[in-house]
Amino acid sequence: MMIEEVGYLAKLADKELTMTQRMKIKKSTLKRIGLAMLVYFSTMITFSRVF
Amino acid sequence: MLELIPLVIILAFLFETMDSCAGMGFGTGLTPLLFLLGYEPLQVVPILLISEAITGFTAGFFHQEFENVNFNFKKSLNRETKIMLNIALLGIFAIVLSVFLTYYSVKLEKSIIQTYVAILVIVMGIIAMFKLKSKSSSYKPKLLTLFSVLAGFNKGIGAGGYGPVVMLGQIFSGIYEKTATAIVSVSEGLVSVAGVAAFVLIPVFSNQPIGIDFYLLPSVFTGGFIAAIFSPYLVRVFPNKLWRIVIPVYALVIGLYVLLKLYVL
Repeated sequence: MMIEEVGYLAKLADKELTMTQRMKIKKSTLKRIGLAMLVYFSTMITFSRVF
Repeated sequence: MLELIPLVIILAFLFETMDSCAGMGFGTGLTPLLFLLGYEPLQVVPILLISEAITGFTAGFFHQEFENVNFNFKKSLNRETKIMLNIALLGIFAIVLSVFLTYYSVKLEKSIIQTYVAILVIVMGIIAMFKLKSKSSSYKPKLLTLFSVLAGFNKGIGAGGYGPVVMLGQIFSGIYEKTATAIVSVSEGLVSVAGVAAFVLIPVFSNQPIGIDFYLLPSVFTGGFIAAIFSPYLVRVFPNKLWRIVIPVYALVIGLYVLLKLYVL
């Protein structure tokens, strides 16, 4: 499978990993989810001041 | 005082979950429901565009994080990035045209064009269901351009249905379902940014400023944002064969829902 193929990473994950393995979340991803929630709360605070 | 409306949060969450998992339905599904709840077009349409812009990018970011897609903006763009930008550019052109047509009162018979889009989505959904058993085909860029133009044309004439046509068009063009969903999310984010800009700027330039009511924004944003993080994870975890069934079935439901809304409800 060439790396340039469209959908390469998703196909590879489906082929190589079981559903349970795909359920695992990397630490770096957890950090980014935390950051996204920070963005969410900051936005809501901004909304409460603006509207 | 910031007011959060639980029903709107739940609806936004459900429709954004489906939008980020199946690439369609946020605007088409949520808009008429909010109208039914008694909200006015200026409370709904710009708010959904703003929310879709934010959630589109958020979902795209997490699709990349969960490896449903591999966008690459460094050095040379890879195929997935080029496909996303091509779809988005056609959509941006279409949505600006659509807002122009609305403001300059170019009247097109709404029910006829919405019927046409609903039937198109239903037919595409049925074809996709018939193709379920066939093996995934190779990538066909010309076919994808054709569907992107068709979706842009539909949006340009104000008929909606952009998500379903682009999503099913990608599948017909041989793009892996999980990746197609991610591409649609980011494209819709970019198109929605253009939509918000057109919604605000065109009336200003034409000296007919409009008052957007932001009352629903915190609730729609809350439901949509959480769904935009959660859905890419669902897309990663569940096998692609599930999404191959969910996407055409959901397209059929959306097409039928538009027809019911037009002729029955």
